[in-house]
Order: sequence, then C-alpha cells, then structure tokens
Amino acid sequence: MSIKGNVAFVGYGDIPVGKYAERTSVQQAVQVSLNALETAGLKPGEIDTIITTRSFADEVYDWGIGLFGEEIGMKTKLEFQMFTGGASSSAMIKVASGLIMSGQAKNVLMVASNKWGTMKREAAVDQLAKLHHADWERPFGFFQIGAVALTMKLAFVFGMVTPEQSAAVAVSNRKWAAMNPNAMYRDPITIEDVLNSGFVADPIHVLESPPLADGAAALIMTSAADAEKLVDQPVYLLGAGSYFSFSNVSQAKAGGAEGQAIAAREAYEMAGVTPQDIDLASIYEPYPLGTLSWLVNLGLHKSMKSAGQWMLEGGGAPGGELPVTTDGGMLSRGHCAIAGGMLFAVEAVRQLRGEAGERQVKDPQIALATAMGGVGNSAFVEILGINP
Amino acid sequence: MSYTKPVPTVRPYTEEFWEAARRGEFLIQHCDDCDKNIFYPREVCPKCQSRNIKYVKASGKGRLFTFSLVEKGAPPDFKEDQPYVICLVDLEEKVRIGSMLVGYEDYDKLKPGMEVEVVFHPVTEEISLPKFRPVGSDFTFPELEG
Repeated sequence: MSIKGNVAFVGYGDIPVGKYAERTSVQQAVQVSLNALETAGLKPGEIDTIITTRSFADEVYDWGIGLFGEEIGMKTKLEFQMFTGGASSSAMIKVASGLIMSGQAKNVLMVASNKWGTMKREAAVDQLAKLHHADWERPFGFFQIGAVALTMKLAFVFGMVTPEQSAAVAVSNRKWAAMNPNAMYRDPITIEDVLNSGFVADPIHVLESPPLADGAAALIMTSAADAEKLVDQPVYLLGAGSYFSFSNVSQAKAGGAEGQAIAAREAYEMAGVTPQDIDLASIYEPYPLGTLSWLVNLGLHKSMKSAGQWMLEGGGAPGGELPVTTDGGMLSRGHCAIAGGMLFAVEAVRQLRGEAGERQVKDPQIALATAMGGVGNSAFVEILGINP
Repeated sequence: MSYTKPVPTVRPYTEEFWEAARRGEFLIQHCDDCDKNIFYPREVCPKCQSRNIKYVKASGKGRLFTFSLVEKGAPPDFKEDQPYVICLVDLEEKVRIGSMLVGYEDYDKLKPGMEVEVVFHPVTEEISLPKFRPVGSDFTFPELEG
C-alpha cells in the first residue's frame, strides 16, 4: 500500500536559530519536542516511538544512548538514532511512515538538535572535515565547502549561471528570513554585498555559505485516521523520494546532484502530482547553486540559467511566482546541521497549516521539501498536502 | 619539523600503492572480471563487487576536471596553507582523483581540461602524497629531511 495520504504530520516544533551558548543540545531538543507536542495536542506519554540523530555539539552535551528520552522523561516502545548527514530527517520521515503503516508505531516523534553556533568553531569545522575520507580526501585539504565548491566551479566556468544569479538566491532567502522571527540573520542584503564578501572557496562567497548555528527541530507523525481526530488540519505525506549515490566528491557524477531528479520523480509519481501543482518549495540549500540545481531537477525550471534568471527577477522571493525557502533557509535562517535539514519540512508543515505569521503564503495546498546529505551524497524530496 | 596534517593510514590493501608512491610511481587498480579501472583503492570492485582486482601502473597524467582556490574555509590543519587549490583530476586511465594542484603560475588562468601530471609530496617515511602540477611545470617537493 502506498504511503500517499495514509500518514500525516500533526505536530512541528522549532526555536530561534543562532548563537545561544546557554542552551545545551539536549535542552534544545526537549524544548522543540514540547512545542511539537503542543501543536499536535498530544501528551508526552502518547508518543510510542522516538527517532533522534547524531548531535553535532561539544562532546559533553552529546546525547549518548537515549539521553534525550531520559531528559524529557519519556519511556517508549522504541527509541533510536538515524544519520545520513543533513538529510537525516528525511530518512526519519521514510522510516516513521513505514513503522506507522505497518502497525509497528502509532505516534512518532522525530527530533534533531545541534550546537554548531556556539561550540568551538575549530571543533565544528573539524567535525565536518572528518566526514571526508581519511585516506583519500582529508590529507589533500578537502572539507565540506571545498568539495561543494569543486562541483559548483564548473557551472560558472561553463557559463551555466552568472555570479549575480547565484547571489540572488542569498538575497531572496534573506527577504524571507526578515519575516521569520526564529531566523539568525534578518537584515536585508544586496547582490553587491554578496559579491563583495570574499571567497570561502572559489566560487562560493562568504554570504553564499551558511552561517553555522545552534538550533533544533521536531516533527510528529501519525496515521491519517488518527491525525484527523487530533488536529484541525493534518498535513498529509503524499510522496517521498530518495536516492543515494556516493560519498566522496571524486566519485560523484553530474556535479553531485545526480540523485535530485531521481528522488523528485519518485516523490511526484507517488503523490500523483506534477511540478505545476506545487504551491511552495522548501528547498535545502546550504549554497545558492543548490537551490538552482533543485529548481531544475524538481522540474520547475529548464536550466540553471533560467532558474537563476528567475531568482534574480524575484520569482522565488516574497510576492514572486512560487515561494522558495520561505523560512530563509540555511543561508539566512542558519545552518544548524541536521536540525537545519528538518526545518525545511517543518516550514512546509507550518505553511500548510496556515501558521507562518507574517510570511504566510496564501492558501497553499501542496508543498514540497527537499534535503541533501553530505555533499549531495543522498537526495530526498517530500511532497505534502492539506488533502490526503 | 615533523608533518602535522592528516596522513593516510597504510592498510593491507593500500600497502602496494604507498610503496610505489615512495618510488615515484602512481598505481591504480584494475578489475580482472569487469575490466574497470578503479581509484581510490578498495578491497572490492565498486562496479561488480569482484575481489579479483590488482594494482597496475598508471601514467600519472590527466586533465583537470575542476578546481577551487580555498581562501577562508580550510579545516584547522590547513589554515596555514591558505590560499591553496584543491582539484579533481581525470587520469588518462579514466579514473577521477581528488587532490591538490601545485606549481601553477596564475590561478585565474587555470581551466578545466588543462593537462596535469602527478608530483609526489613526501610527508613521512611511509607516505608520499600524489599531488598534481600543470604539464610543463618543474615544481617538485623537497626530499624528507634526515
């Protein structure tokens, strides 16, 4: 049986993203989980499955085995961690839907929390570097942004996109973030600001790389039947697609984006919808070209160039044709690691429930959220809707 | 001064690679079952999962696939090297390798497709890292001291 319309999100939780030294990783997780329970109308005792993930934080606050459940005071049938980089939450969504559909779980709490903002910066950068191959990447000075830069460089060299089009994504995200009280950076920026901010690694400018942040996110999923009893507006999972293809950038085809189109096709087919049906796209994008590449692979644009030109003309910005990354995304809302990945789905759920405040999109029916793990190693697409 | 950056670990299935690297030879692997060339070294063929793979000598020559000048984002161990250039190189033997580009004159004149060749960087008694330089460059790394 397809998952389409048979499972639904009933709760979501987040907290301000940024630098909050006073919050520990596990405390953040407790806070967002309580927020999610409140939006679901559920009591902690009604959760029977907890899925957590690796916490990027100073060691002393790492979650050990089950620390989150103990801190919040829950005993559940099942508690475990899942990890596939920034896409971990999308993998959780797939697993949660399977557990619910097969009758092995009733109410599933998914939660992620990370401390990239105020843990020692060198330690954060070092943790990221250690995700790269110990024999064949790290000895050559490879690291996260550098590996991504290698794939993005070609798009500029071959004229697939202009620096201004790339910068326009960062500017658009910032406009949305200005209306998100939980975003890390909310002051307006211009294309000139982006292009004059210097390179982290050519061609990625400082304002095109995500600020590392503290943050957390939670989602609660249950069956469609239970969801309809719990909340006024269940947010149904209509389709979920994914594809894994590599770990090291030297082994990637097509600039590391090869999984995006495959994941998108699976999600659209499962949901029985087309790109024209999408009212809001919550796109995982630590770097601007990620957004442009997704817009193409999601079938929303024909080329990086047309997607870039469209962003430059405000197509994805507030008041534009299709709202893109309405919480400000990694670039402005802040990159809180795995929690940062989950916040794309949180934003889609919040918008579909009509609870996004100043940045609320008018009457969205169908939204999509995407995620990527590593440097594009895994790609995920979820399609969500207000009707099953 | 001893070398303090990350260094590959010599493993049973990579011993031959590093031994050759010390002599200045660049090896890749070849699968005798599906005929595929393989890099980086593994215990099984990533195309057909055969264990029947062996090291063969490669030319060490290829073309620059892509590159990036790292100016601000390097991990702590490489901060002092900034700016440096990381790259992906397509070897003549149709395998792609991630490495560092050295010995270039003007970063802004680098182009994908440029001819490059391996140049070994001896960093410990055991390890000489395969890095790349433009063909025509006479850049070499110093011998290990002592």
